[in-house]
Amino acid sequence: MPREKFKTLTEQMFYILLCLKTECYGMDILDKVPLMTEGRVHIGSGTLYNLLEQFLGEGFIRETKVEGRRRSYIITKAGADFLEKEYLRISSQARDYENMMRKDREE
Amino acid sequence: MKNKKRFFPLFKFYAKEQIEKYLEDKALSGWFLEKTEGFGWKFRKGEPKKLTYSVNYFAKASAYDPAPSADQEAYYELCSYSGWYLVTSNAQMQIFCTELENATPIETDPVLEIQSIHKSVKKSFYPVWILWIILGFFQLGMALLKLFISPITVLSNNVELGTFVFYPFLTAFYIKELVTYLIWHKKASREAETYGSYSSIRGTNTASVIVVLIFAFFYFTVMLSSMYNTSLAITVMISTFLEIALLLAITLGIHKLLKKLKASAKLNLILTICTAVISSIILTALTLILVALLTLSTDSIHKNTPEPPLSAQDLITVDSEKQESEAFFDESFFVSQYDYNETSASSSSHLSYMIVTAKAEALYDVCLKELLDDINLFGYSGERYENTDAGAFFADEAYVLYDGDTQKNKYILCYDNKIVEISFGWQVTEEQMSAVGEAFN
Repeated sequence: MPREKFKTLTEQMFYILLCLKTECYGMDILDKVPLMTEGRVHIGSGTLYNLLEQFLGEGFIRETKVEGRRRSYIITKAGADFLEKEYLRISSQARDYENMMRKDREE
Repeated sequence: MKNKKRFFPLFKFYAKEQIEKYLEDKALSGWFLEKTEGFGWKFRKGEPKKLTYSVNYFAKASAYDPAPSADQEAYYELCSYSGWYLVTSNAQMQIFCTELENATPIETDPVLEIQSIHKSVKKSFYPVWILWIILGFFQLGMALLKLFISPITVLSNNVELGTFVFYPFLTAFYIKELVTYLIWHKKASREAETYGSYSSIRGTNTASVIVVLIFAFFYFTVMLSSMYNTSLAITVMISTFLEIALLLAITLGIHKLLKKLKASAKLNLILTICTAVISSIILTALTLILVALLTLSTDSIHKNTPEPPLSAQDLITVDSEKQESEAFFDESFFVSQYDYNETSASSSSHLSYMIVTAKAEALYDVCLKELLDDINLFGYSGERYENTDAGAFFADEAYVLYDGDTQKNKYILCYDNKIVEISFGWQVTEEQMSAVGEAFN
């Protein structure tokens, strides 16, 4: 079944939106994500480009500056809400896991 | 030693991994890709080096863009930031390269990557494939219609028969291209969704291209050698190939020039199509004129037209100097057709006939039916064929034409594997009928 666009966020999508909490250039994201995740998540430049395009189209981010070939972006209210929703979803997933596993250990 | 060289790898547009591997192997042997646009892929000689190539698809690009768009530039900027520099681009295909051992790949989301490939293929290849498939079916339909209306003309001509091989072949070829892509796309999308990786297509177009070349050569040879004598056939073949080469050169030249002049993608597309159409019309006209000129300068362009088995002077007294005659012969593996027409100032000495020889029994009835029904093709004309005495012509069957109640001097005679449609300018006598019978038997 095809992945529905933004029904949930992939890891890469999640970190791009998270980076754009503060205004930054596309290339900053390429550096920030591996730093933030201790090298666990890397984003390819082509993938980043496509995702930024899709987020712009969806109104999750907006362009703040265009300096020649460099463009900077920041998250919008809609984007932030979506990210929050995703955070809550992941948190409840983690909580459910904890509950299940702790119960197992106690038994 | 030359330090530039062209190679002709015939990869499928979307054969990402295969192209990457090919370019990496070339770099290891000291050949570095410069561009893929135009005639073959251009490589430059250098010190052998271990490079990593990445083939990517930028769906918004077009072959008609005068220069990379601002979006494309922004994309290149991101790629160069992560260590990938652009080698060359051709329409949507973008080829990058890096010396870094552990550069992050350009595409890290296979689902998105397949989406880009799909958008690019839809934009660049769907129109071409679908157009050829429609054209193939259309031409085949037209050929079938013609076969239905005039089987003798079609069955006795190798060129006409060739369309029944050529167009199904063409259509099948493009359907195969389309289906191969669709199957790959479906499989790769499912793999990417489920496993987070997919297998790139393998296999080149080399086999297809070889098949097409052999086929084209065979088709031209059979077709032309059955129509013309050898030297003319060769001339026509060479001029046809020259015509195609010139057409490609002019069209690509205009396309490139407009790109250099920074014409917009739309203008370039429109002008390139116009150039292709206009120059193909002009070149076809020139080829036809060339063939016509050659035809005029040669006595017999058609291969050995046999001597007529019967002429008017075999039957009646004619002033042979005033009689003019022409004969035409065409032959295929299935049917041959011999047309003879003799005229003079006086219509009473006209004689014309057509001999149709069916080389397969099944075709005999088809040809006979066409000749018998021919007169009524455009609605009821009041004319019809009726059985007449076959013995007078030493024939197996004979028919004579009637217009209302009036008997005309036109007959259809059936012999062994031959059908003769014959028309006299005068009333034939029994004696002449026997002479006709002897000539055709």
